[in-house]
Amino acid sequence: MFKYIGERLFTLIPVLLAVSLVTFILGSMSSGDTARTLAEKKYDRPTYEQIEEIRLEMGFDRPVLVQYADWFKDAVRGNLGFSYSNNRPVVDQIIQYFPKTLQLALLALLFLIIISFTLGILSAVFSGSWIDKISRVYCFWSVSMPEFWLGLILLYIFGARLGLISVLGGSSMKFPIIPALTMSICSGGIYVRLIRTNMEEVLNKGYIRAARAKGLSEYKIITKHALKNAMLPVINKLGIGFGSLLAGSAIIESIFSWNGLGNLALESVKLKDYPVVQGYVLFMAVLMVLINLAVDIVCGVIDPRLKNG
Amino acid sequence: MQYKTDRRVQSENVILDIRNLSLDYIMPGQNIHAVVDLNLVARMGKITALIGESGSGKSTVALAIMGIQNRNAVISSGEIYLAGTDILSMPKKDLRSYISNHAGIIFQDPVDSLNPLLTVGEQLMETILMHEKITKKQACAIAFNQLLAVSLPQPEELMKKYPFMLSGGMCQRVTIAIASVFHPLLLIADEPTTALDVTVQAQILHQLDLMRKRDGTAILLITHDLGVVAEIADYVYIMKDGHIVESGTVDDIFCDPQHIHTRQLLAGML
Amino acid sequence: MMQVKTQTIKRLNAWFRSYNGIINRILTQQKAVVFGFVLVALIIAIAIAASVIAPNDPLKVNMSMRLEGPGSLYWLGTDNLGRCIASRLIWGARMSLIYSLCILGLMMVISIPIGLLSGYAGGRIDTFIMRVIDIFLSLPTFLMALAIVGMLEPGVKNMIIAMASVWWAPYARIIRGMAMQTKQQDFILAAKAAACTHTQIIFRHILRNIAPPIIVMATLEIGSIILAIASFSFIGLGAQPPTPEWGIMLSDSKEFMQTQPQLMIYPGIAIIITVMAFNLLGEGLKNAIQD
Repeated sequence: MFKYIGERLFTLIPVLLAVSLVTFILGSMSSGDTARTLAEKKYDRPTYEQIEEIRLEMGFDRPVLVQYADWFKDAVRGNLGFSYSNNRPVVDQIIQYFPKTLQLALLALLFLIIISFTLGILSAVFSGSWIDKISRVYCFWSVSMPEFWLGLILLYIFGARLGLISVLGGSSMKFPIIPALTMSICSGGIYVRLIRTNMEEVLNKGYIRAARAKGLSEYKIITKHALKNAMLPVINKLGIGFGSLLAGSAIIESIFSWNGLGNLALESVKLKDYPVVQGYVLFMAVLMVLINLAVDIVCGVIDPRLKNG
Repeated sequence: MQYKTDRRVQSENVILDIRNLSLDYIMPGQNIHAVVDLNLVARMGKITALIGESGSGKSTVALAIMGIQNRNAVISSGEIYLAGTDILSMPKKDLRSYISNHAGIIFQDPVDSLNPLLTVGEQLMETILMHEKITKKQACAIAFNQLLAVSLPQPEELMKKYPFMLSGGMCQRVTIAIASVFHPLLLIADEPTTALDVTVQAQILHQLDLMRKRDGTAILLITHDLGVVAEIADYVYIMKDGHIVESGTVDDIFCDPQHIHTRQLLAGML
Repeated sequence: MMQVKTQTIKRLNAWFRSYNGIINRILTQQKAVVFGFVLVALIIAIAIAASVIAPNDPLKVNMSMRLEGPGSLYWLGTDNLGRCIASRLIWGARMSLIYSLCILGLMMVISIPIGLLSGYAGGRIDTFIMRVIDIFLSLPTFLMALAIVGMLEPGVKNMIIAMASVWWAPYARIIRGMAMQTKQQDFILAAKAAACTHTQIIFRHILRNIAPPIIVMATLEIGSIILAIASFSFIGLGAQPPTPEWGIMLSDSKEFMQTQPQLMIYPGIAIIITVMAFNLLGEGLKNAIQD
């Protein structure tokens, strides 16, 4: 068991190396611009010498791999550099803004579970009924719809029309209900389909038939026998889906002015604040690998076949 | 509640009396006559075999008796008297409990008949607690005895195991244990040995025979294997394309087969 | 010269006939699939004929006619800069299709050779390539594409490169699997016995065999690519204004949400219809091939 965890953590390393190297190299490709941007901050109309001075000061003249090695050494110790735009440590900013993104993702996960479980299970049990048809339409439609568009529409309805959210900005919301709803509606389709397929498959299995012959009530059959078996692969996918929710919330956060990590990343990209972007990508990559690992472990514990076999 | 009963059926130790049963599968565009005008009788303490090739409709009959047939299977006519009462005339809400109190069924794939995520103990106890209002401890004791009754050793250990840990033969014994917990009058065995090794087959058949002798259970053995029939059956029904083509005692069928199909089956076996 | 021509015609005929069976099966599928097929064809036709169909110049700014309602001249009205919405939508179809085909093409150019090589060669090469693919698979794709485009100059070219370089991995893995399966089949042994070179085997035999599933995958993927393009353009990292692109149109419409909500609705619906059409077609193709 621990060997397994150790192995998985080991695979984390090449991923992190790849991720950080790529972002670093890209960042350094426009280092001329960075020096200029920094100079423009310090001085009004920086001269060439002043730009050069900053270039040397920041070490941009050294070969890329050397710069990367330095950055890596610092990163391993928990120092991800300083933001170009406000000079604060990147790590501090990540820690400051992460909770809001986490809150959004958790709420979205909750809505996702409610929507997809209800529709998926009901449409499998009542196959062919109106609920089944509605859920199929929903699946199809949710996959085809741009998430940010739904966000805009909901912002219009609940913000501009009903005045429940402030359209112009500022997180006047205590709980990001509408943004979370947007994300969950758009991701729901895949899960509804998965749950429905799994449930239908399980409901056709021998042990369900045997349970019926025993005289077990339909309700008990579904809740005690069918659900457990159908849900295992779903839990797996949901765990990974949670990672996607965390990583993919940037645009929704921006639309609803929810000051989370995604929003920070987006702003930093626009400002070309490379240290922040690098730190963000690295942080997210680590987080996703850890989440995948946690999901694998949890599924291994729940399924007796994996635990003992 | 007035259900259709037949006094005659209740005597002569007849536990199952199927009369003129016809069942169709309704599919888009076609009607498949799976069972046509079938008559069959199973008696207490006797093993009645229903033989036919694949697709003859024998499994359909088994499912219909237990009330768990396919959704698009429609019984167009006939009566099924189980312990004296026509179950086809019963309202749905009473049907399941009546059937499960009087009959049990085991299937061809023993591992698939058990829920892979629940222990043997949990599945056995579920059946016990469903029928009687007793404490968990009492149910546990009954479960132990039941496992011993199907010749499974070390019931305490076995209760905690999951189906994938057991061999096919052991799983089939577990399903027999579950199906016979409250001594059903009829036990339907739908191809119980087809998926098992030859040596294990003999053990399972022996187990069924034991139940017949010990508890007086009527056993409806559904199979395509004449060898199995020759070993333990008392009465035989031969089925082809949804019809019963011949019936009689084992000796009658094997020594003096009348119908062409019976002779073909026997010829194939030898 | 004539011989070459008849040869090519014969080849095309044979090729067409081999796929004819599949086309027949598609057409006999449920109505939804045929509907998707027709819709996709319609959208492609609109995209190709954009310059002819569009009532006005999508780029022409006309500040005196800002935010007009629908009319005979401007079919769906005008946007905040007086440009014809209908024309921008029509041209948007062309833009979306071009960009997504570029991304798809680039993805395939990367993933097909890698997948084929890995599947066919096996051994150390395969293990190495699979490690690389695994690394790419565990990347948060949207993030990476975002970061890449952000670091480079925001623009269509960089968006295409960023997306293709992050999304090729799943396809390479699937193609590798298919190549490995096909490699085992008998006709490959026959080809080897006939002393075909490796390249010939890979391209003539294996690739031709796995081409249909690849096409199906590609069709199913176009929808997601179009959505991604719209997202990137929405946040300003993809197509740049004043390009008539649906994502940009949505971004522009944000400011006028309270007064002119219809600006938000038209491009959104265009995106949904297009993505749905490709998904319908893709699903239909997938079912047809599975049979």
